[in-house]
Amino acid sequence: MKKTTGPVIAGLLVSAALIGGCASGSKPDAMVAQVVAPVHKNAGDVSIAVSGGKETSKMGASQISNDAFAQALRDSIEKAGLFSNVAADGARYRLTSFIGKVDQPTFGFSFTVKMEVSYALKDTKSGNTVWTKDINSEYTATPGQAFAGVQRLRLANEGAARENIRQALTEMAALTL
Amino acid sequence: MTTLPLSQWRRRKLLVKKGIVNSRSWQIARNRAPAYNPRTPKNKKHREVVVKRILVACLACAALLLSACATLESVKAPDANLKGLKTFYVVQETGDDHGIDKLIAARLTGMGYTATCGEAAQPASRVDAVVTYQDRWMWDITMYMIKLDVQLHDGESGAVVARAQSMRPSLQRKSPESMVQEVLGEMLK
Repeated sequence: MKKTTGPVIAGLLVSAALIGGCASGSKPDAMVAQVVAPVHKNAGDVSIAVSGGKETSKMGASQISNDAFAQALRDSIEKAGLFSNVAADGARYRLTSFIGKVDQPTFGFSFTVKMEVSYALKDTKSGNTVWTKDINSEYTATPGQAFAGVQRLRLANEGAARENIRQALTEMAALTL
Repeated sequence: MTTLPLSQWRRRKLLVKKGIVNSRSWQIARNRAPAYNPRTPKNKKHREVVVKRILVACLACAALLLSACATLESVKAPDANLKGLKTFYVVQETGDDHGIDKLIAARLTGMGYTATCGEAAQPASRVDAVVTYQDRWMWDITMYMIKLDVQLHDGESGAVVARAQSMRPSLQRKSPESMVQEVLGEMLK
């Protein structure tokens, strides 16, 4: 037993260096998108509901939670001025987003995350769905952006989500409600 | 006790630690043992053994830390109704040379649905749902499927309505057929 103590300690240190930290979830601020197309402002207010997201566990891979994606979507809509207000509930329009796919690599140098989100905008007054769209996006994070794998994966997640929100907002900006 | 030079003290400490000598036998061994030379074949071999032990310990620790538990999860869109689905089309993933699309279609048929598969992104005739998937493989002695993601799209709008994922690290590995079975079972239960 005494003979293996040194190598085990060395092994633990090397392993710790290789793994290099715990995973952290995607940050809403980093997923906020900017719309470059002209925005058609809608007079009504909107509420947001997100499902299909996942919480990040410390020992697992970085994920995108429902709350983080909803916050990013809310901030992006407010920034673009797409609706008069983003309400918590009881708004004229309800935007639902279902995160249907977050395809992450298991290893590699450059991490490409592919994301698919299904959006639906419903007029709560008439009960009609005024817009639906299934949007695919992807983003590649390189070792130059982050050396640690857990951080690189988070950046790739955030980039894919940001691009997805940007596409959704661009589509919604063209709507005349 | 005689005063030893620093190098001798270190050597004694090492040999006592390794259990090769004890404090008393050191006095005898010291007189007999040749001066430590790292280049001699015996010491070289000893060094190689230590290096090997470090490497094995590294691999064991990395395996312990990296081997997560198997997970199986599914989620569906709030308004999705999967009960009425009868016909499916499985889109072959680009670069899939394991025939996972055929396994999924075969499993769906086994579950009582009508299922076809192919390379085209859209089916030739209308179906209730389109199935897409992503399979991830790893090598550990043999190749094994570490992760299988399956998405279910509405046949009409194309919107993703449900998804399921099975993740099985090396120690909990299962055959692709079993992973397909558990993912579809979880998603369509």
